[in-house]
Amino acid sequence: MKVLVVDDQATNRAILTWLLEEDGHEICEAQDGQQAIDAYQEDDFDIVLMDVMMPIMDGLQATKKIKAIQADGNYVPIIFLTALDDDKALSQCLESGGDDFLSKPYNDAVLKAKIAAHMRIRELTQVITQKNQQLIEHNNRWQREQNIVAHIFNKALEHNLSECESLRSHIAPASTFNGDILLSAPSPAGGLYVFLGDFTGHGLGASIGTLPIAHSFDQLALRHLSVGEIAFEFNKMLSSMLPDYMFCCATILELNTLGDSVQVWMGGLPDAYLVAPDGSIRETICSQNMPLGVEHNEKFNKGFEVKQLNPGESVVFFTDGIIEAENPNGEFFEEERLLNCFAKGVKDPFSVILSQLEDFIQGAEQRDDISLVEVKSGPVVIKHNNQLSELKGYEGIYWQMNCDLGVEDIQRSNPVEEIMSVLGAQTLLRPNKDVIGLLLAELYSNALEHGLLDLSSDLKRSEDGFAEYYQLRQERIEALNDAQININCELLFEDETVLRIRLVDSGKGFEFENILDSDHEDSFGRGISLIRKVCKRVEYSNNGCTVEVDFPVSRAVVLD
Amino acid sequence: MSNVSVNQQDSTLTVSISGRFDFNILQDFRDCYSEMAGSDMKFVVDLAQTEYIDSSALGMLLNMKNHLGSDDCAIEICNCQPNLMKIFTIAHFDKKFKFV
Repeated sequence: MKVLVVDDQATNRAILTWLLEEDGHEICEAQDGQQAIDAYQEDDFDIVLMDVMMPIMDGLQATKKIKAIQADGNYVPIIFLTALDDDKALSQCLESGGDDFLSKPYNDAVLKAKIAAHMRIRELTQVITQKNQQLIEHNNRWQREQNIVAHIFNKALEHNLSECESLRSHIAPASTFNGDILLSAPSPAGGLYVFLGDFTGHGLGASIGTLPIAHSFDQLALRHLSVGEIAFEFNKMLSSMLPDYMFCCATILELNTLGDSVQVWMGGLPDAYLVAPDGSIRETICSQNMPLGVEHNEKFNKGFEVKQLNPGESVVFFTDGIIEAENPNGEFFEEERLLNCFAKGVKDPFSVILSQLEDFIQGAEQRDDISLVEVKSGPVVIKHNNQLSELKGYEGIYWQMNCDLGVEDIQRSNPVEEIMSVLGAQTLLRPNKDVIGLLLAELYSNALEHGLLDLSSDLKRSEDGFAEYYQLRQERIEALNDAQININCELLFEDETVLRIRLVDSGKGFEFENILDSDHEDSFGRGISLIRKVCKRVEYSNNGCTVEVDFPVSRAVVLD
Repeated sequence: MSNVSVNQQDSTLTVSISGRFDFNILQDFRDCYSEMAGSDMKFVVDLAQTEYIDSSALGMLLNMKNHLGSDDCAIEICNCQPNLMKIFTIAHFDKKFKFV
């Protein structure tokens, strides 16, 4: 140990030096307060033994200054050795910042014991200071990392539909990171997908799982999977990723374009409610499945429920954070209070739940993430995303594809499939691949059957005629010679990106007006009505031998 | 290729179609139910293995309904994949048949 001995009496210093060197300490001497401060600043000491009465600067003042220098957390004990023994003098010693005192004449053993005791305090302080430093560094690093992760989470959840009138939500995480996750995406058919998940626990640990879910949700929505299949995909992903004790309770819902029907898959979240326009619960939808990340793939049930939605109705669902919300007395909000928010005459149960919840909690600390979601009936209108994609527009190349089909091509097989294998590979067309395939097939059938084969739809009026029609079709195809169908597909921009499909057949034409007008319940005429529903322009010309349609590719197929 | 199979269990007749559901299976499809008119059978069309439908399939389903003289929604269509459902919805078939 390095000891600074401060005393104006050379004898006193000599005695102390002799006494302490015996114990192996290294001693440095100062004759007054000023010398003590100078020495202290030049060297690192472990302990200071300070006389009180000294010329130039007394011990009290020197102590104050040394303690001021010490403020960096390096604790160097100062023990006063003083001839004064009145209470006032002693309290002055402590007030100046001294850590202990010993009256002269002192007992050697007591002095050594005090030094040893203070050394232990100094060591402890050093350890604490060191740990504090580590904690500060750790905390800084954690803050930095938290900022980075928060940024990533925000970005990941950003592509939620912010503006969709069918969807209303309230999300209140218990900490910076949310273990609840709400995602929404448009379906390729123009409907709306909503995913609400609650990972076990809350905070960062629970949030981690939300990232891959958020990431793949849009992709799954784009494939227009059923809610059951989306659940299956998520389950597969989570069970391979999460530790056994972690899983995700979830509700997945798809609202159709008209907003009069929902498909619901529920795994482990509290009951969802189908709410009538008068505010009462028309039907309770219960979870039928294990949470995501639990079940083995083979056992997973992709089944889901389909519920019709009448005008003014909605589906309200939530995570258990609401039921288990606590007030300052430690009471839970509970299902009963929640159910009381739905009653005949309640105009807006969603808002009522939120205000009831707030009144109940009375500012108590939130223990779990809280999410409340409402999906309303009525046609799905998505403002935000469409605008965004419209603004961005299609950035790929525009192209044209032309096929001249001769008799052999027509006889051999269905050329539509071959064309679709090319068109379907286009990222832009892929979401509507099924509809475009149908469109082409119907256009081709019309050109072939009415244009080239001169078959009349009237035949299909009777059931036997229906069969005869296709019988004749086959015979006439086989008998074809010198016929042609030209199929031209072009991706172009006209106010918006459209796929223009033109078919020209070498037949003698047909009365296309009849076909255009047909929209009845018969077993024929469905083809053209399908075409007209999905295209924004359908034009027959050239006596019915040419048909041209425009399919708006960037718009989802809008029904009615 | 396309394939039509029939399975009768108690009073339920299930017609399963694998592959493409279009006029190529017209005869097979008709044969499944043509003898059943007026019976108390429950009819189910299983589309679990169906990859494609076109307007002739819609016509065939309507023919089936007319032939059996059944009410709207008396014939069940089950396991319809979303891509096919889209087409049924566009054609408003969701009002004519019961999708389960």
